[in-house]
Amino acid sequence: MNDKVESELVYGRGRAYGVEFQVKKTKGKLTGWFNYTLSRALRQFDDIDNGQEFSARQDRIHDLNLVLTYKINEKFVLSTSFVYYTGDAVTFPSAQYTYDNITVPYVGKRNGNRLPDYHRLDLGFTWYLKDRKRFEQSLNFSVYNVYARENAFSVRFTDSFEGNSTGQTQAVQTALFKLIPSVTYNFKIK
Amino acid sequence: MKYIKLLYFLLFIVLLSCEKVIDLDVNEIEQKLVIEAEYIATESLVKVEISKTKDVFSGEDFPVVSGAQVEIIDENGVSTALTDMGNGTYELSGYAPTYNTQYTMKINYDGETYESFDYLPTPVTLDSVTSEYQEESLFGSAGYVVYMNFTDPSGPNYYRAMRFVNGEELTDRGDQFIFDDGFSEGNQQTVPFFTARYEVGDSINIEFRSYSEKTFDFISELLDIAGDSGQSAAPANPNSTWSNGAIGNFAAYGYDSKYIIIQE
Repeated sequence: MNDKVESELVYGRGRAYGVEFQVKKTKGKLTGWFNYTLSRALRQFDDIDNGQEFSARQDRIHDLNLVLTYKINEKFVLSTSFVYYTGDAVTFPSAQYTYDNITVPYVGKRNGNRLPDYHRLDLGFTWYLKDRKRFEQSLNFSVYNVYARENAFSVRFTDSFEGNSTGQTQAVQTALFKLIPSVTYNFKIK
Repeated sequence: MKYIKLLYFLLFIVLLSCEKVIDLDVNEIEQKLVIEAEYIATESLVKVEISKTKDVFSGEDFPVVSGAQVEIIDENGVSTALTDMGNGTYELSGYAPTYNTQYTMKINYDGETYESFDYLPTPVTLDSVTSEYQEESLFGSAGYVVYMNFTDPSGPNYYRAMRFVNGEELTDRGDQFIFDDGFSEGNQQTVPFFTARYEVGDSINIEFRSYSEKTFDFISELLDIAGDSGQSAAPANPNSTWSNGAIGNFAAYGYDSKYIIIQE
């Protein structure tokens, strides 16, 4: 047993850089903003991948946000937002082999793969109801992930996914939320 | 109650409907040589299996490698060749062991040489295999738990127990039993196979292997990576003990075996 756990750690260097753009419209019926970030987050350890620099898991190269709000009149407001970013850097097996009667993945370059890109469109509609003496009120109808994109939360490699009897390895993606509709009632005391 | 069922149904939809098989690009690598070499000293048998890696999503069999020159070299430098049995398998029988010495394995294939060595420890004797009836509990259903009893010699020791239940070897990743004496140095040991419950009439044969530290490390790492479905934070390959970039290990080991037929 090693009672000096810190001696088991490997030390390395991290590097991050990038550039951000923003366009904003604050006047008129249509308001909103558009953000775009181009960045890198890299790591280098002498003990990993022969000292080659690799992407940190959070290395999100492209990150794009668009938010728009359209005021139809005093009563109704439409809004939408769109998000897009590069999938997380992850390590997938790059081959497999058989040893000791089991099939073993051969691990590829550290964080040398990407989860599928993430993107999602949300829509909202707000109806400002008649003000009362003591409070203001509104109803909001919205839909999260309008086109029901199955964004990858994780990907696993398995030969035992439902109905697979070939013994062949498959990549199985888990997505958390598809389309989610919601209704919200808001009130604000004057 | 009705609402709880409805809630379960919604959870079911939300959680299960979102898993699907996808097409993925993985960075494929050049095929690598995989060498699984064993000197099973108790049987005086040297056995080598050579194959190659294949693509992750490939449905084909693993390619086997025949036509290699394989030899085992003892501590005095005496080299003995293995016979190519075809189908990627190489064997040498009647090779008597000298315990507590080092053996080297040398393979020539396609103009390249691959080498690995291992230290052959004296196998530890299994005193007995016993069983005990366990009531149903949090840890498992009712049935008989099998125990291995042995005396751990002083100095570091590395063990692996293979189980043959009613004549069939348990080869699944989850059935593997590999451990060292880090917590029990030099003691009388009683080690249970906790997860399995057996019935009266079952026969369980235990092959109790004594590994070197190097082989223990390799097999432990291999089982770790094979048991992981790609979700751990930093997956890595087991450290190969072959020179020249081949995957695998050369294991020299002896074993002791005992069996039990469960009785009331």
